[in-house]
Amino acid sequence: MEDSENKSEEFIPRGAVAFFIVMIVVFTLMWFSIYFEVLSRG
Amino acid sequence: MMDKSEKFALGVSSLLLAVFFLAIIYMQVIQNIDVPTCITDVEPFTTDTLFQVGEDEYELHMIARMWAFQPSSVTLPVGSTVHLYVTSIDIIHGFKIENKNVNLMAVPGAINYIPVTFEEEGEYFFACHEFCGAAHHAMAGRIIIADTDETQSAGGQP
Repeated sequence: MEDSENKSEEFIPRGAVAFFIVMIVVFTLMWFSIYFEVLSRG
Repeated sequence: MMDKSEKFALGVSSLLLAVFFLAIIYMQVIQNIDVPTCITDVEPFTTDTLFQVGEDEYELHMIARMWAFQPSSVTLPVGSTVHLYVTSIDIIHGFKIENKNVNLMAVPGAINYIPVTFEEEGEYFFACHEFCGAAHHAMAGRIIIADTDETQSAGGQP
């Protein structure tokens, strides 16, 4: 029982964090690609 | 208490939103890139006109109709800023200039406005981007930016 609680406290959602970082990077690239296109058209 | 990973996600998301917001402010204020404005309290014009309103500044009244723009050809000097007013005399049309930040609707009974500056010489094609009938595909024209002091607007008359 104690072991189970310790494991729960140490749990880090690595998969979710990795997915989140990839999602943020992709969204940022998409957003800024359109943004710089607008800037280049003046 | 909030989880460490949740704090991270919330922090990064908030930061990104702030960056996007500041980038839009920069675009609007520093780069002076405007968004289209709808003018509803002015009677729409029924004739196309082009006239000079200042040094390198012109006012262009553009009419859209089935299936042509009036004028369909405009010649202006390099560096011109055009105050573009677009309306329609029949049905809803669109007005988009290639490679510029100009994308307006041409609506009967209303005028849409956007200023646009042409810094580079060349031909800028514009076209209707709202399907408007059988000859929609032929509804196009061009703005010619040339190294000249002459201005000209022509074409598109029924």
